[in-house]
Amino acid sequence: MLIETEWIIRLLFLGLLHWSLAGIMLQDLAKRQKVAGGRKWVWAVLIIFLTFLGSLIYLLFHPQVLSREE
Amino acid sequence: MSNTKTTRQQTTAESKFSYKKAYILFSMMAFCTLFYYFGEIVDAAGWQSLHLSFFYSVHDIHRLLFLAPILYTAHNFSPKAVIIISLITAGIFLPRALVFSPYPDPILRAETFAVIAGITGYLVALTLDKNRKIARLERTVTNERDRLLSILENMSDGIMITGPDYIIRYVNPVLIKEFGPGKGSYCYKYLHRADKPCEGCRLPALISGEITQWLNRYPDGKIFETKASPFVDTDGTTCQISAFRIINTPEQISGQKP
Repeated sequence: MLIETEWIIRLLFLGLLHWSLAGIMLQDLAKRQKVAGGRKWVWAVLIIFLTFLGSLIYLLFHPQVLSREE
Repeated sequence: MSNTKTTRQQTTAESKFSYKKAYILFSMMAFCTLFYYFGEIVDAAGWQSLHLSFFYSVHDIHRLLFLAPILYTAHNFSPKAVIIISLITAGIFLPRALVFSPYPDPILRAETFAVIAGITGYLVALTLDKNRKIARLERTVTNERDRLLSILENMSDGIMITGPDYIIRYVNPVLIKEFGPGKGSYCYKYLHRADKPCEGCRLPALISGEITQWLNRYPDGKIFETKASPFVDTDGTTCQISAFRIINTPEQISGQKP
């Protein structure tokens, strides 16, 4: 099955968006001492495999990601 | 040691974090998303009475509402937070751009807006961040100066800070007790009741970086040992800070009085 060029571009764009956001959330997850629920690996799986939504859910539970670094 | 410092910094930042502002931001994003997809929600729910043509037109205007949460983020959070919200905004536009929009180049128009709004918000956040840092540094400098002054207030030696124009900027209580209030007066008038700078005045040499000491003899018999060094005031002016200590005893003074 051939995928049209347009859809390849769309998938690439979606991938870029997903991994940019996931990268920021994973970086925060790595630095964090405590996470909601207590299990970091669960959040890592959620962020990586649940496209976009995983990062959004992580942000909802850990809004401190938005804080200024002193 | 560096891990402990990072943890402490993170804890300090988190303790100052406003959850209220974060949830206001999330509410704004939710509202903007609902507004953006209102036409699709109405169609899905079958609410014919709410079928307004505005929600089915090209969504270039509807996207403008997302400027509010992006600029709110720039004002209340970090530049990194603006990037996160801009990425989320770009993601929110995608379903309509990929699936629903009947207009030409939907991805290009939607994501161009997200990029421009993100850059604008990022620049605003950087500017505000810089202003906050400057204000914090100014507060630190003022606090350090206040701390220094409180030390000087409690010293047993007399302390005087003189500007390069011979005008006294500060005298501590010990010197006030000896010579009276002197802030704003000329040092030569205050200490020696003279009308012009003393002959051999060390102020110009001190301003240029010398540290020196000398003895001052007064008509009442008191002899002060004066130690002086340069001092940079909070306005950046190099001044002279002098410490005055009486070196003869009250008995010696009463013996020496005319």
